[in-house]
Amino acid sequence: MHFDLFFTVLLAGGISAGLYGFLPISLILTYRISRTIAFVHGGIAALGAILYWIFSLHNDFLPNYIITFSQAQDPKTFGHRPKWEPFPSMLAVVAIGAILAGTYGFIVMSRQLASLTVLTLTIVSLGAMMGMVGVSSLMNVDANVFPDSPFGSGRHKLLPESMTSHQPLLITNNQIFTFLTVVGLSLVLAVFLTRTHTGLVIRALADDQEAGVWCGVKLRAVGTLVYGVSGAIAALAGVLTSITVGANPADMLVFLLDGLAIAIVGGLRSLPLSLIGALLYGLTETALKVGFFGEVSLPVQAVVLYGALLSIIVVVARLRRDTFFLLERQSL
Amino acid sequence: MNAAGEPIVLEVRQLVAGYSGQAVLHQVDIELHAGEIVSLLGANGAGKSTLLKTIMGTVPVIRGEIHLLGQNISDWAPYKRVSTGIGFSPEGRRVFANLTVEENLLIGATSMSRAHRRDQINAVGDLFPVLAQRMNQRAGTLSGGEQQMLAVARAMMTKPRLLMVEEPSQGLAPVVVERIYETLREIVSQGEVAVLVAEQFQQVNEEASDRILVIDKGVVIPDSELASVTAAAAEVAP
Amino acid sequence: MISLPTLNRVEGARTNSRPVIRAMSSPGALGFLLIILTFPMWRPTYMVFTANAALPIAITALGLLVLVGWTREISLATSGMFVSAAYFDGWLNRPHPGGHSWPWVVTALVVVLSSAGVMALVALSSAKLPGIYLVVLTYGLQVVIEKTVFTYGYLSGGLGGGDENGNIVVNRRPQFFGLNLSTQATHRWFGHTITQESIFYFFSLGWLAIVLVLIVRLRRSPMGLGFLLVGADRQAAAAIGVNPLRFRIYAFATSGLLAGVGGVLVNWLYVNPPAFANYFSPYSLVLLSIPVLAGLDSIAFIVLVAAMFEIVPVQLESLRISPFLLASVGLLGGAVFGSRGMGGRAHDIWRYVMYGDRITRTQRERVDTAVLRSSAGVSGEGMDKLTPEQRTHALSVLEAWLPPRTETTYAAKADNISVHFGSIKALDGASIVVPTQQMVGLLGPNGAGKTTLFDVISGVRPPNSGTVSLFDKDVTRMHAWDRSKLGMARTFQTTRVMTDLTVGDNLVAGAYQRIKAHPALFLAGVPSAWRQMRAAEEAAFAAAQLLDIDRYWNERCGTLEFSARRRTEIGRCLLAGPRLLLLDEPAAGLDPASSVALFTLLKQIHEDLGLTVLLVEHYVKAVLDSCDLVYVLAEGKVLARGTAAEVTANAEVRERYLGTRMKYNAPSIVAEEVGLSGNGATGKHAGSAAAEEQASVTR
Repeated sequence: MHFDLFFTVLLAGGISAGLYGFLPISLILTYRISRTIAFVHGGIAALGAILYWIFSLHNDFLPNYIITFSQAQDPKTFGHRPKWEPFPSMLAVVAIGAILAGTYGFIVMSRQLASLTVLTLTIVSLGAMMGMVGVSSLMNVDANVFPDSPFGSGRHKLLPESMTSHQPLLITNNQIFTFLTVVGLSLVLAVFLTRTHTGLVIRALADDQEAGVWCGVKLRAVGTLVYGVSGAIAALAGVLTSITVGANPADMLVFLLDGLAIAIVGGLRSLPLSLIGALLYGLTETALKVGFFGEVSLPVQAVVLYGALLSIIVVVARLRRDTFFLLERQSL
Repeated sequence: MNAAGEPIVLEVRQLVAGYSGQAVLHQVDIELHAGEIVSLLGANGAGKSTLLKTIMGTVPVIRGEIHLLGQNISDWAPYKRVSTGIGFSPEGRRVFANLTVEENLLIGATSMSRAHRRDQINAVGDLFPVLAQRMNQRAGTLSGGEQQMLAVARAMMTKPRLLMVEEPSQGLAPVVVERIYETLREIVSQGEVAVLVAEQFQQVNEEASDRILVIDKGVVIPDSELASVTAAAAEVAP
Repeated sequence: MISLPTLNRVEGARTNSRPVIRAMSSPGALGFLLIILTFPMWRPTYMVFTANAALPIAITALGLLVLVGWTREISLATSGMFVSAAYFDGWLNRPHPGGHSWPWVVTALVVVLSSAGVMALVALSSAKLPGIYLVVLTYGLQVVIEKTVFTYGYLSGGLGGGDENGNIVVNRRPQFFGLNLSTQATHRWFGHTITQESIFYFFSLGWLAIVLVLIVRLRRSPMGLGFLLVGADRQAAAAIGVNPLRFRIYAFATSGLLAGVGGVLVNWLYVNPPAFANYFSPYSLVLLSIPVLAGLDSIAFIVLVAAMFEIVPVQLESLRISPFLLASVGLLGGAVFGSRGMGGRAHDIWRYVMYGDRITRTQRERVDTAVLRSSAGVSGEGMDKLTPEQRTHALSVLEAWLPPRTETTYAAKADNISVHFGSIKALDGASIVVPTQQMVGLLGPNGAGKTTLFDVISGVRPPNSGTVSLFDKDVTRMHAWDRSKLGMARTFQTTRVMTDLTVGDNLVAGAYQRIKAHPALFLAGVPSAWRQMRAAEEAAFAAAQLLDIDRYWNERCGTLEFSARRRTEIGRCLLAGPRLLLLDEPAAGLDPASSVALFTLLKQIHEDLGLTVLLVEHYVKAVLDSCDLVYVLAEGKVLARGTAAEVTANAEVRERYLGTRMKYNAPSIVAEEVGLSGNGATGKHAGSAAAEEQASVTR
């Protein structure tokens, strides 16, 4: 093991882990209130990535087209790109994400649909996600061109070169912002859930939704709020991902599934545990990439990374011991 | 107004209700007056739970009307009905196990303003001294009887005019149940609240009830004495 | 003496012991068959090619039917496994340096079996974890496949269609018993030129047909019912001897196996290995949507939907329908149709058209019976009840089905059991014994630990301390499903029937551990195995008659009223062949008349079949009237034990549990009913006991 890379791994890995923290937050929030995995956030992240690309990309060497829904339209003359500034674009996308998810929550938490089973709701969520990803993939976006970050393109050296094996370790503004947002978001959520009445209501609904309704809780309003907030978070995750790895909708699906795996480290209920999972995931990934464990081929990297993640999940599951196999009646 | 001159709290007229258009309740007529405890007897599948949930608003009304304190609440959302004056203690208690006793009560008072919530917690604490001593205890660790008290206390947080309690005796020793009925008597003694208690046949507390209604297969049999209740139930049973 | 044919129903409770014939006998299936066989004749070649591409998908989807539809697990690795099988088969089939190559049978077998093995391993490694963890594990497998198998050029053709030497990777089609399938060959048949695609179409169809036959047989065999039970409710499955862990592994293995078969077929279909870019994890979700839309128990519709998923994008090419949109339609459509999917709804409509609505279907039977009975001179009174001859016959069938009566003194013993959840003590040194062939009741308030004690005895929950023995065998460390093999079955407080399945299926599912034939024999269609199935059906029907649910044989449990479902659950327990029956609040939710009827029934079954019964109840009077031995639990300890009279006389019991309002010296409700309906000796334990009770009835 190359211990001279230790600080590189720690810092770069820790900061890159920030991006992995977003979707687990969304998934856990909505799981607690609806007992279903809201796959729809994957769709919102995909749409967020695509929309941010469309809104903000200024690269002049790309022709003035973006939206073509079928091959029939001539790409050179059909459609227009808004070409906004990155920061307002990001805000617009986050707002759209909040509205979309809020609408989804509003529909799904209505009285009529309250009688659907968990399995059906999960399927609806999956279907909504696939639909959004399908729509996103219809839009002609060049996945190899990355949009600009709203925070500028500054790079900073956070550690002296002596500590990072004489390689300059540069962290972008984007990465710093991502990390700070995740941390800030978690703190705000923690305070909100424990100190406000609405937060108390959300915790109560996670315990027993029907009893909450009978106590006079406005279920639909709270549900819409929770979905809206988690949708905004998912859209933001989409934006930040498109800046770092491009706006391919299928990649967003993978991102969601990774996020789901990390959320499961916390059993879909514990935010702190899943954030630790995100941290470990980021650290391991970075360690493998920069060569902390020596030269590792790509396939083996994948095996190690997912093997580690899955081992953590299994270990935590056994430690929590909150389910004994037979006491759970069904798998989902 | 009934014969004693007490105001009508709940009026259910020709109610037909059930999930997905499938009627479980058939032309139910009920009247509840302030200051009385009414027992509703029936088995699961008879419609007792469905009736209470329809009054609460979580089961849709197909035909007919529900009037609370003179207002037609048939189409209202549950939270609106609660803030107008219904409190519900469901079957199985359904307390929020991971929240403390105090937090459970605060949820019960969701529809009230923040200032009122505090006051009401103190008031409810007087009514249920057992709970006042356990305000910071996690509700999941309370005994069955204490949880039942908490469920009723939580329902009382909005100062309801109609209190509905579903199967308070379920799984509790009869001595504990008697204490609960004493508390219910105390609640109606001021003459403002009407209490509807739903019970299984074998659990009925005929001394505590002013009236007894029997529901079977979604039909409410008009007021009757206990002696003929069992006979009537046997007659309509399949 | 009239004897009604055992399976004579209006709708025909057709036996499942000839499953393939039954499946093929509906007009829909025959029409379908016609379309499929003549497809190449009336569609252009490119459509036939598309159909060829759809058939392997259909086969893989059938594997998902078993995994997702029946066992309700989710795998996100199907896409990776499917295409990896294609890659590996292609690789194994390529000529090795030296010139020789492996026969296609061998490579196909290797690929299919290792595919099954990998999935089984994944399931094994997640033993005892909730289903959501398996989702993540399979996702991990998919990612690992993507990063390894997809990147190896010699397997997947890499990005440019070539291996690491730059050679384009090419597949070969096998020589299939002299039939040349290679893409260059042409065939002539009675003067017509048959295109290559059509030949391959029929070839693939043959494989699909084999798979379909196997799946149909699997569905109707005890294993199929076992899968469905595990998917519906693990605890209920364990309670009748089905091992949920093992079945989970079997389900994953089956889906791996069929994905392997599909992959092998795909490898033969394409000249070059399929582009891996189409088979990333999103495609697993697309495959998942096929059983969701088709219906979780619809074999035919799986094939239909899989075909549509391939054909529709080709037909509507100008719209650029991506697989994501297809999956979206599939999933949302599935949500609309409910858990029974398109197939289930179609089946419902068919039955409605053919046999009328539910009332009509179950009503006509009564009329027929009444007509037959009156013509035989039996009075029409008590139309729903059985004639004495029918009753005797049903009892003898069921008695023959049950295992021999036990010689041990005690059916169950729980000694000094303690269970705590955190700081709460659910049970604190409770001890009970259940003597053989007695009816024992457990009374006490909730929180007293009754259901917990039940869970400990039946094996759902391990005790923190204490021992449990069944029929003199220590079972404290034994799993719930193994305890069932010793002769125990239990019901649950909330009735756990499979609501999407018929009463008949539910009852026969209970017979799982009593049917000794190996599953492979069922798949092979060996008649002796299916005869055992038929015997189970007859026993199930006898039980249905005794429990008065025989007219609901073809109805889905979800549409029945509560007491019928309760009786179905009890029937399912009986089919498991227990000598000890654990009943958890059998009368809960029933009105007094039904409760009395049920307790009477239980008492009859207990006496006639010599069953030992342990029950938990809140309906105190019924327990006191029908049980030989009564325990009262309070706060985790045994408060009192003894006969009904002894327990009610106990002062502490009166004070702490029964209260002062209990009227327990009223005439017995249960004994009355037994006296009225038990005409003469029925079963091995009647006779003096029944006569005595008759004599003691007071009004």
